[in-house]
Amino acid sequence: MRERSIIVWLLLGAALVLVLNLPSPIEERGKAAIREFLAPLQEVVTRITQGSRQWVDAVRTLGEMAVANQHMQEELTKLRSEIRYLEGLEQENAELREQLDFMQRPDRTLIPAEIIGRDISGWWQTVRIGKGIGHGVEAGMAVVTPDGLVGRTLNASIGTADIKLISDSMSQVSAWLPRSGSHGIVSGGGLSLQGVPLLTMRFINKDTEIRMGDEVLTAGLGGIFPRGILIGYVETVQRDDTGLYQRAELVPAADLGRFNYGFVVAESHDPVDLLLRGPNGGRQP
Amino acid sequence: MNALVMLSLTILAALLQAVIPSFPRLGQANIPALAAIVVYYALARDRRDLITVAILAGLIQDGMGLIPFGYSPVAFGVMGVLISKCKELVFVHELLTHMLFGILMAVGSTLILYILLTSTNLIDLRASQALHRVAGSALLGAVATPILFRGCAHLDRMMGLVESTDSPWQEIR
Repeated sequence: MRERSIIVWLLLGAALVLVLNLPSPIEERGKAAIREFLAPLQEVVTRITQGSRQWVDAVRTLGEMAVANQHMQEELTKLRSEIRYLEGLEQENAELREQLDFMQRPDRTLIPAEIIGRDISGWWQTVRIGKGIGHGVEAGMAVVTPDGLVGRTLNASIGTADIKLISDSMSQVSAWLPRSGSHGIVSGGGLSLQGVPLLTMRFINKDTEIRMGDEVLTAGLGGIFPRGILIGYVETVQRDDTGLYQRAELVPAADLGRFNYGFVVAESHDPVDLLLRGPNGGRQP
Repeated sequence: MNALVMLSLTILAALLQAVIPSFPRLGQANIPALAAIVVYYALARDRRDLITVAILAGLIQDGMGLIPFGYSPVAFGVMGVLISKCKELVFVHELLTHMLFGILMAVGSTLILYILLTSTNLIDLRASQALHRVAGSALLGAVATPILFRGCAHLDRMMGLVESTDSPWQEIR
């Protein structure tokens, strides 16, 4: 009996060592299978909880809805006129680019995706969307909401993909301040005690003048995040410990804690890079 | 039937854990629903069922998140076996027992995962943040484990895996 018990424990130990040292592709396939199996259930449960939350919110803010509707109508009219104006500009821009012999910018496809769950372990700032390889989503694509940058896709199965949020402590995005033209790196800092996502922009030139409320956009370096997506706004600025750079605390533009929908940017070519390369891949003079 | 109940409980716990957001004031700790299921099997079932559920719960937790395969089964397995070794020394059916073992499981599994994840550079968490998280997990473990323990016992009775009695804390089998 004792010998049998030892054999069982040895087998268990061997199996564990095997699982811990699984080759990456096999591990990914195993994880994808579990995700695919549980995704429909997860989606149903998330829809129910979201639906009930929205219903409670709707009842609570019934009085404010008429006012909000009025504001949205006004904004819709304004945005429609802006679209008409921008269409004219886009056409003019395309003509000018053609005259200058620049490469055409590739169209970015935005794949809409619903959030079906958040990180089960709580160690990371991630969410799961209900779109995957089957819908054109791959690892390493930027994810945005109408308000701004949210994160990037990490791994994708047929019908799901995980998104690492920009507030994750292992997340880094190359960024720039359009008002001053200074560059830096935006790192995530997790959540504050109040549940507010923390973002810090580091390595900003120490001589750059930064004002509170300055916009921070993606710089487009690194090949994942397209240039020009709004990350957030500067809240506070201070000199970093070395004294060589400045550091700015940011308020994220997108509501990282509560968003229910996002868009995966399927084409993430860097327009600046394309501009420099020109039609034959060489630099423009 | 036993395997079906085991699988259902684990999946339900995983869904519960995935739907309820983490608590920033508690160091971003999550409700340790899967850990609570392992505590239930450690106290109420034999070693074979415990190991099976620890591996199953661990693989589901790892599969649904970014933790590499095998880390959570190690954490749940080690803590589950420790708890099952202590069950002869305690009153298995007491609420206080479930709370204490819920705390032990949450603290132990969080620490094991923290060590494994930091040693492989998968997370960047300061020691103070880790301690905050451990304390948060302990609190959530103390609250969640007795509730889920009761739920598991109820389901087992409904499925006829245990004889129905007046006591909701009756030992299984």
